[in-house]
Amino acid sequence: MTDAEFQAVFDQHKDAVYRFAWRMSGSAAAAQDIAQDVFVGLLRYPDRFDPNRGALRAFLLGIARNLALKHWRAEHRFEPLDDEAVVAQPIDLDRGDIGDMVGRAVRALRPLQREVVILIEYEGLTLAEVAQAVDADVGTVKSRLHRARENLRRTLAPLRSRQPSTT
Amino acid sequence: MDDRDLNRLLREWRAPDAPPDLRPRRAHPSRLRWLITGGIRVPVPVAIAALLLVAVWIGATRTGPTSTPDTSGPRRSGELARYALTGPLKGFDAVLVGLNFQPGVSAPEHRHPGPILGYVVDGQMRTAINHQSDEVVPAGGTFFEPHGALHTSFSSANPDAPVRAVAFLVVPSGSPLTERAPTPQGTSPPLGTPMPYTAIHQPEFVAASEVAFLQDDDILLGVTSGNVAKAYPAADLAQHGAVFDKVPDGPISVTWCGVCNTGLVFRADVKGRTLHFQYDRMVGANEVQKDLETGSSWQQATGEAIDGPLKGSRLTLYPVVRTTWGEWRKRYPQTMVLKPLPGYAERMPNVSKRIKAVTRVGPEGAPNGALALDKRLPARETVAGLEVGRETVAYPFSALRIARIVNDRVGGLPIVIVHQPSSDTTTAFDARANGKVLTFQAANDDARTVIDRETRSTWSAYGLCLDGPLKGTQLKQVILVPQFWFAWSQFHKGTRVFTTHSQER
Repeated sequence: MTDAEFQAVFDQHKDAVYRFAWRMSGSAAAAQDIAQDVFVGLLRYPDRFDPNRGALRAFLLGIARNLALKHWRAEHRFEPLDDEAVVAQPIDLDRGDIGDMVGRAVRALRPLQREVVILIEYEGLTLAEVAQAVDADVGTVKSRLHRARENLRRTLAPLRSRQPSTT
Repeated sequence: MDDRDLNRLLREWRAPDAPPDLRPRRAHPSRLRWLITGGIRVPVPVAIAALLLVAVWIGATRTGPTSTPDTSGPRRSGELARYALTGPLKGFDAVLVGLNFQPGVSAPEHRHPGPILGYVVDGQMRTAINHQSDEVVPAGGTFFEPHGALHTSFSSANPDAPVRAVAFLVVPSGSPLTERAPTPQGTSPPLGTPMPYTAIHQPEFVAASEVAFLQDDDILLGVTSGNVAKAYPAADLAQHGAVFDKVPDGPISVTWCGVCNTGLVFRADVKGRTLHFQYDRMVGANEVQKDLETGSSWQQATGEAIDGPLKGSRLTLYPVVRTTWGEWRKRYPQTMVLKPLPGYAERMPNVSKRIKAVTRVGPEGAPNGALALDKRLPARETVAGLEVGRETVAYPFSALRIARIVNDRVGGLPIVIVHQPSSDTTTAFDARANGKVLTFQAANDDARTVIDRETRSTWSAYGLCLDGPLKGTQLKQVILVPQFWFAWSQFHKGTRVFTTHSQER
């Protein structure tokens, strides 16, 4: 990969990678580290990207996802990385604006549910691309998304009456 | 809420774009690749030597005056950098590794998939290959292992100090750095290998005099039965979830949930069946363990079967004291201690450090999955929970450290709670003796002994009367359940919370 090619890839995808890492980790510093490492990884091992397996953006978000989980594990050594919990962490719905509350609700999801929600709802990946990024099959991704949305529905139910006007 | 409502809400959460100072770090890979494969063809040994110089330089700068080396805790060993080689070494990676061995920790027998050249930065390295005699390499010295050599000894040569080294390897691209040699049973896998979270069903024990893996302030669960005293270190329990054991009055399951900071012991039999437990899943940020005999799932914090053939049954709590190794050993010098398994023992110092830290000051917020949030206390404040009849009370450690003695009435029963702040050891007793209700006060700062106001007898913190009219009387122990507040409050709705203010009233 030439410098110019790399720069083009960086310019095109840096925001998506950073946004994803920010949403996953909840920390600007962690997001910056993760985004840096994603592109350093691409520089070092450009051959690992196989265009036949999917889009470059899904590939980069997959690397970011692995780094975000590594970050999560470092901070939650005693919590198993399971995606089976159907209960959501309660959140304080009296603090911050609606965007903040939604952010807290998404971040309260188990990591494997959270990443699926972020990749699909915010980064617009297809189910197949998400499956590639999170190294799971499409059925698993669908069921994680379903559980995540159920959790969010329950957690955010009190906000329904406070939704912003759509006009 | 339908899908449209949810989608509309989700759109309200906006994330920032990448900051302008986010730049790809391009310089490092290209410069190092040039050393090996730039326009000038460099012979491989020279290239390796050049990289080694870089390695030594990195090692030296890392011990420079800008950061004082911290030898108090174990440092991580691991890969510092890896670069794919090209030219004559295409298909290989150059790898720089940091090696940090605490005293007493040694690597199991292993091989590397390439030659390794090392430089000792701090301390003294004991090393040997192919079962030859050990060689001690001082700081500034180097060691070399040819490709495929069996590394049979690798540790700090100084029993009181760690050793730090950097090593440079050339290995096939993408390959792991270490291949574990077939080892006899009982040796440890390399540090960093994830250990399975499985229960221990055939525990082994060592005598207190043989215990080198515990510090005085390490937290443990202590159990006594007949003449037997047994200690189960929290840092070991937290890596297994459950330990099945047999004490003179029957089988028990010693359990730990790291997310709730809960250590509980249950009688491991229900309706005449002995049960062996194994971690299954989390519910309400608390472990659920499955018994292997019936497949029923048991909530650790309550001991209740939440599904399976035994659904609705409840395990019986077994008396336990959560205390420190120093305190327990002083009280029971003949105690037996759960022997950590190879691979788990090496992780105990780090796990222990964390358990102590979160017990002292709980991290903010409840963990994911907590069922409800009772805001009367911080979610991860450690409390000693007590349930008598239909009444439940939470005694926050922060309040107990101040009060030390609590004379209370729970579920109609007079109770005394004794908290020794130096070891955060909490004990509780039925406060009646000889048909009389007693009230207590601390006899000293750490509440190691207490005095009852009614007879002026002196008692140990473990409910034994040491002196005075009631000498020799043992108060009946009441079982406390120490755990984080979110866990106690979510399973004991409407619980009362003890405050030092309520004690004064």
